[in-house]
Amino acid sequence: MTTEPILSVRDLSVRFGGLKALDRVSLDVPRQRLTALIGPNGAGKSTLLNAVSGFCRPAAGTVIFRGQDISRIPPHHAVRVGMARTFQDLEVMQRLTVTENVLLGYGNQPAERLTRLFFTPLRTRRAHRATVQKTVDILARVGLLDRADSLASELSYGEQKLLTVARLLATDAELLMFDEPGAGLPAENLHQIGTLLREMVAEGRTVVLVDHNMDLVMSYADEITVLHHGQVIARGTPQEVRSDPSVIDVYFSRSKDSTAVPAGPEGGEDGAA
Amino acid sequence: MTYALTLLTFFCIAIILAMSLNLVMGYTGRVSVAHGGFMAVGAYGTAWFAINAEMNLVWAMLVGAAVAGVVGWIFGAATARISGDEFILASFALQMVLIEMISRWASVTRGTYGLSGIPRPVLFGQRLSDVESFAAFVVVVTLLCGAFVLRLGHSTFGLALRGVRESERSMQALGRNTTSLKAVAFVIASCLAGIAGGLQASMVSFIHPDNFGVMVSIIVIAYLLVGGLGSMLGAALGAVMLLSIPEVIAATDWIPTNLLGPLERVLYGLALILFVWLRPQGLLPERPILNVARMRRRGLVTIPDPQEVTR
Amino acid sequence: MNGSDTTVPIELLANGVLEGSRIGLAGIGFALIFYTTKELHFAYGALLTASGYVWYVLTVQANLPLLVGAPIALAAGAAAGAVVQRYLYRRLTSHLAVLLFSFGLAIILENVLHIAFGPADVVLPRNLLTGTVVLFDRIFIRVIDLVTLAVFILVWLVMLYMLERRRIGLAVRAVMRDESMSELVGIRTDRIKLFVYAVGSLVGAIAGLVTIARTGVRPGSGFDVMLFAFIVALLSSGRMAMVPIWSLGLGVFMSLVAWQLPTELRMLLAFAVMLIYLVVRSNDRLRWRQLLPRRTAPAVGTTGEANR
Repeated sequence: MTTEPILSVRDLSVRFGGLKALDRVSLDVPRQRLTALIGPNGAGKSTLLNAVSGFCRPAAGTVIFRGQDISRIPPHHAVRVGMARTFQDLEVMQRLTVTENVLLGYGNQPAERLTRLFFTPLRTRRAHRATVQKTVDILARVGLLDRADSLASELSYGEQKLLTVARLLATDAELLMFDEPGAGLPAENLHQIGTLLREMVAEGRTVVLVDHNMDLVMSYADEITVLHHGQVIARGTPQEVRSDPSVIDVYFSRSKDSTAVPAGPEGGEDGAA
Repeated sequence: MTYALTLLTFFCIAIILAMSLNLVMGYTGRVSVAHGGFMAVGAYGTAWFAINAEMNLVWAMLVGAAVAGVVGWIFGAATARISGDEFILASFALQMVLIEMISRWASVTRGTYGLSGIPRPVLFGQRLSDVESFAAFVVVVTLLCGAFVLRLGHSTFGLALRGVRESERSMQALGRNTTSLKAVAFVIASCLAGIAGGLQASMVSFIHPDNFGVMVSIIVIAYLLVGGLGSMLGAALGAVMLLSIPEVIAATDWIPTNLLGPLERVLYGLALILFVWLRPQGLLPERPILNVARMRRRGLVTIPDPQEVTR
Repeated sequence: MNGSDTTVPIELLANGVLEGSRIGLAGIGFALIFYTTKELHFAYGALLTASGYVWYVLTVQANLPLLVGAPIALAAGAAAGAVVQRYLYRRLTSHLAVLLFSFGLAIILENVLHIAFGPADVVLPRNLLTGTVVLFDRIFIRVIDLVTLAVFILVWLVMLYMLERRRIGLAVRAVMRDESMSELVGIRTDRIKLFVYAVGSLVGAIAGLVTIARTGVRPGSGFDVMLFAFIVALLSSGRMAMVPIWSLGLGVFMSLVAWQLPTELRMLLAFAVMLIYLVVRSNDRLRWRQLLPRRTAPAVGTTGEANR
């Protein structure tokens, strides 16, 4: 197994009009680890995710994924090369059932190809059932099986977040990137998600977590990168980051609220569960 | 009997139109008012090949549908990045462009004089000139198209289209080329509209650009609204229901014939606003493509043991 | 100075400006509604036509003088637009619902007019407006056209004044730019929407009266007018100040083009331009390769197996 980082970002810059959303950001995501990306609002975290996954075009810089330059791929190629991501505003398919939502996580289904749908119906049907079975297994794993036939719109907010995680698992991608999975969730749901993320790492995947929630990040991440105004200002283990003066500066000199770093459980070495 | 069979063929044509538009509007979630235009392309394409190239109408219809499909492909792909609201306008522009082109290209289409002499198909050596045999032909074609579209809708392909409707970004993040999906849906819908046009052309043997105006497009949308956007059976139901109204009115004698047209359209308008106001989801609901509980009962999937789940 | 060589362009220009002023009246009203509410008020054209019919009824059947009937017809048009928004559109839950509802409304209105008045053009009796005036010894202009131009300029100026200098105009512009922000800031967006529907329909009614005074109205007149209003609203990309300018531009363009092409191709050309404009605007970079369905290569999962 290689020790090369699975994802390398070099001098990545993104501009929106006159605004520099990302300013020569460089970052390595190590394999089989949970890397968190934090920073105040507007720091560029989601932009970085978007630039890496093809949803926004960088003005400069490169993105190397598993040795391949993917700086300019279209968004629907990301899964093809082995990377999948969620979105900040859920983007759950509200009028589809829970099972249908997760089913769509499986790309390249024969039942989606018209030629196979009509010319090899029996084989297609068998493949479809196998995929549904895999979907059911994932739903059981994340705890949504009892809601399998409910419409996604009928789920609570926390359940919908879980649904996006399940859908991402279905892609079987090696690199999974989560954009604010913890936003708006109460504590038990947070830990449920955190546990799932660590399980994925234990299975051999790599997870990138973008979030505001310090509880989640400090408890479960192996390594944290801090962004501010589109630049990397700190990097290290949760302990290191928590006591880094530039980070404290950014987070505490302004506010009094929930971005305060708690003196919580120790940072996520593989034992955390 | 002749009257009933004639009515049946019109119902069938309307059903094909409704179910095909449902693929674009109900499934993919894009409102298109260009369906009349595609029907026209199919009708005139069929007519041209049947008359000038002396093709058997069956082949002429396929060619006409193919032409409609090509137009649909170009349009569907070119407009894939357009947002919903502007897509309506673009489809409107396309509708007008198609009808205007047909009206002005008189050397080929005989423009506003209308085109007559469209033959009936010849099957197994017989020309289907009588009402009964042509009606049977139309019903068979409709069943084939209906079965095709139903299968399409009830598959993962249909699910993918719905996925694009619900969240295009997610579908892209899940590896789907959404531009391609939208274009394919549009092509299929246009081809089927073309087939409906071909059937109409052969049925009445005379076509005129006014037969395919934007009003037709809106009427098809009304079929979908009444029957239930997103449900293929609903589309068929809506078509049958709405088409029955003018027949019922025409059957009662107390409306002067010159007012039948406007009155019919007033009723379509009323149906449209009543359904949008009172029951926007239409009569039949959209059905998921699968039901896990049912699959379990039929032994097609098994629920994993809780202990086995943690891999 | 070459006699015939210079008159033709001048006449075309004049015609174009006059045509532009007609398009502009309809366009200003429609754009105001569309930009503020983002709703495609398809019934706009039909209501506009109906206002023309109202004037006709007041003048010809109730025998009111033209100048008395006009304000009544205008008020009716404005009121109708406001009522439709307040009691009908507002209760609908999505823009799509409003679009489909207004389609239905337009169809009903158009065909009710057909049933009531017949399909043929309905005109006002001969009056001052139908006369002609000669300018520069060469150009024949109808009085109604000059009046239309004057009214167009007046509406343009009043609209500019309202949007730039009056508080309500600023509120309207705020809602145009960002409705939710405006709500947050305390602007009563539902009142603003009602306002723009009333004002927009008023301007539309003016366009309707101008139409019947000029050529008469048919039940389907509104439809044709809507088309150009759409195109102009699109071309102006959300900026009210550009609407009158694009209207004049479109009018002149159509006039010049009509010189070269037979008039029957004008509609075709207008729509083709609209279509191409929409397509080009949405594709910042046309990616042709995306048009072909591609076999997705199997994504390789962590287990090393192909994901099939």
